[in-house]
Amino acid sequence: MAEAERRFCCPACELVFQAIHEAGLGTYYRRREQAPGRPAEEPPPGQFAWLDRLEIGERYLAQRPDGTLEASLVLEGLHCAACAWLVERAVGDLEGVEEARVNYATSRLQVRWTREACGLGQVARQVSRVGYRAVPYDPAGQEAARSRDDRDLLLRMGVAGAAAGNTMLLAVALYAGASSDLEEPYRTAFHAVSLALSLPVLFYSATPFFRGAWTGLRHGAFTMDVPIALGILVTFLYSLWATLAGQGEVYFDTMANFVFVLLVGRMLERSARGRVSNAVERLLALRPRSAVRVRAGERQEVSVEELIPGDLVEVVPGCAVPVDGRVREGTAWVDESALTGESAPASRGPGDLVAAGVVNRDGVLLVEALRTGNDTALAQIARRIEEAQVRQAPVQRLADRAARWFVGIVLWLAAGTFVLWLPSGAERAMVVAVAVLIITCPCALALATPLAVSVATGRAASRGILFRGGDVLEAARGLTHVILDKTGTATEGVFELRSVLGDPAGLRVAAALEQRSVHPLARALVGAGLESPPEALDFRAVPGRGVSGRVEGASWALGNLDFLEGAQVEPALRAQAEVAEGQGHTVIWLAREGRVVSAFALADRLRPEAPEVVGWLRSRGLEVLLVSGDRPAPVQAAARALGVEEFHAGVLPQAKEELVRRLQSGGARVAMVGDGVNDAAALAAAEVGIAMARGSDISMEAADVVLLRPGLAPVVETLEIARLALATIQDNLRLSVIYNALAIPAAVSGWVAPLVAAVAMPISSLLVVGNSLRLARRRIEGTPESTEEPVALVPAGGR
Amino acid sequence: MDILFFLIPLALAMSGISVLLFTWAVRSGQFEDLEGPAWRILFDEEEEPTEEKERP
Repeated sequence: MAEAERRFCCPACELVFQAIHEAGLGTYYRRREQAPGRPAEEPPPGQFAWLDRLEIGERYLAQRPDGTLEASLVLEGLHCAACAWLVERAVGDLEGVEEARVNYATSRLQVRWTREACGLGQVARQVSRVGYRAVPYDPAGQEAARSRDDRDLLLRMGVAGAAAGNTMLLAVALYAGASSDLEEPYRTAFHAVSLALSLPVLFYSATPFFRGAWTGLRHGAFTMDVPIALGILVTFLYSLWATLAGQGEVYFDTMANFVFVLLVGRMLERSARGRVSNAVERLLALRPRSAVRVRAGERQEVSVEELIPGDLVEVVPGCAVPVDGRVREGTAWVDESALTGESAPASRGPGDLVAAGVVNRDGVLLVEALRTGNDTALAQIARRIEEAQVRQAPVQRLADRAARWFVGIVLWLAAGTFVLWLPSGAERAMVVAVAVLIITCPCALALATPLAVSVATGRAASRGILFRGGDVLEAARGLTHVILDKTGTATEGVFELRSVLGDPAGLRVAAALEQRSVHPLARALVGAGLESPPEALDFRAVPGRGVSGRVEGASWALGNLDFLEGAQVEPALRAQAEVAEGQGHTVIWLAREGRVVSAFALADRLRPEAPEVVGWLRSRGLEVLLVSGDRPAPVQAAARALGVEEFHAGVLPQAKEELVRRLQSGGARVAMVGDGVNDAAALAAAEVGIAMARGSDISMEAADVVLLRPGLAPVVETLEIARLALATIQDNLRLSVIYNALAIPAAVSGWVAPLVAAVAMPISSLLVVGNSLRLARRRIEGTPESTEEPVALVPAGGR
Repeated sequence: MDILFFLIPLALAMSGISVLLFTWAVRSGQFEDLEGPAWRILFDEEEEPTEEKERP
């Protein structure tokens, strides 16, 4: 194809690129800037047989009346509309499939097929063949409830909108008739019709506000719903009286508009939050749910839930161990960083214990299950998180605080106005007092938060930052400390060569030997051996120990000291190695024909942007701590490199959470950034918990913010967006106050005709809307990496 | 201006019908996916070989 090698965000886009070039339209690409994307993830080695088993199928399949089966699957890896199209075509082309349809907003695939000709496993396999992942989705549950609520809200909004439009039309006639008298019976007729139109609004569209206000009042709290409900009731009742008594003005249009605008605000907020929840739920739905059980020598794919203690499970490289157990056979390098923060891979062999969630990097293990399902250490951590989440204090929303004194002030003002106008007669006084209540309608106040939240979370989502709720934005207020996890967060979790001890020529040989190896340390050595390494013959890899082979005529062995089986080591070299280990490095030895020639010091690579991020955080007055479960030496080295003064090493998961609570009890507000299971409890306890999407599921579930982009730069953006959102909410509240400050004198002086109220209310709302939309355009300061381009091509409703 | 007594109920009736239609649209799930249809019009339909059209 073209000159340079190109990377694509997904297989679909690659296909489209080829097609465009073949059609001779390649200039398109020269005009357009290519957004960097994520390469599609490798699908796990064909683990789809379990989906074909009947019992599993029952849970996810629905039978249609015409005999076809239907199922919903969650798709991962969709980056753009082209991806969705590709999946639809690929699955639709399968034998037996009647219909395949992708919901672009939720990345869900709906498939219908004839029972005999196809199966769930085949569908999943086909999806993975084109480069994506599909996992069956259990339709019942949270998702269904949420969509029911969404529909409900939409209907209420529709009714309010229809009523608002029609009452406005009638109101115009009434305004026109206000100056030159409108004769009866038309005036009464218009009033009556407006009344009739407002009834569905009062009894159907506005009920959520009444319910919310009632709940709040029952608990003695003046939430935002109270002034809203008050405003709606007063407006309606007064207008009702005016209609029946035949005098005064009616404000039905004001009421209907008020309700309509508020419902729109709520819908915006919900849809923003819904999109984010979807994205996070999708990430979580992709947990590995199958395992390979070995019984009487037979391998069988089962779902993780079916495993019981005593079962033998086979764990291949790339997969996580599904149970807490003991290794029966096999040796391998395992990665425990998600569980413990330990950065260096550990070697596990027969008799060693492994925990659920530990990832096997190299070598096949046969594990005997000791604890499964809810008994694993992993599950225990999950429970702790639930408890931590329950204990978290609810965020005091700014708007609720404003609502409290707002109601009080308005009531006092109305009472005062009534008293003021009493000399002119009780009826006149009542009319003016009610006008005061109506015009101080808390429209702008009520919209202040939802709009800002909606815009902020939407913008953040397009940049790969998922806020799991509007209150997270407010929780970020007044942060004092930021805790960084080390392995996987501040570091990349990838090892690199730091130094070569002994004979430097040994590096070439090491690179030659590690060409065929897959364990994490191998990559570092191969990467560092720059020129093309010689070939290694008689290559033998002992998983969990090392590799050996013949290079340039001599036999070499590379691995840890035990593997080299008592090869001779010079004392000087050994001393150097000890120094390296003292600095937190992992040392790998190379021996030639039984004599150690070189040693390589490897360490986990710090993220390049990390020191800058730490600098930024500190410049904002935040205290930064580095906390890790890893050994002291690497943690100290990382802290020094980052410029962090306080660091804690060897910290167990519970201790991380306790550290957060200890800081909080001292009055601190803590933000925590982590990715592993060992961070999860602390993430839940912190005011703002930030998790990386490539991290473990549990930490994503426990976190308040999930970062889809790799690296630490998004942390800066997250805090900036939260700060801007908060500032916008405060601005909106101030605008609302200004509006009221202008409107109240007008009302008190008896000046409020319905026209004035009708004009003033939209103005206040528009001001708030306009100010909130500014949030979408403001520059987000951050590390140099942040640009205004959206990072991932997402359909508006995507991840 | 008596005609108003006819026109206004008529307008309300039309309004009512549109609300009913809206309700039907929401209930039948037409608002679930708002981006998909926008993209679908851009996708070409391939010529399907005639054998496939005979699928039941």
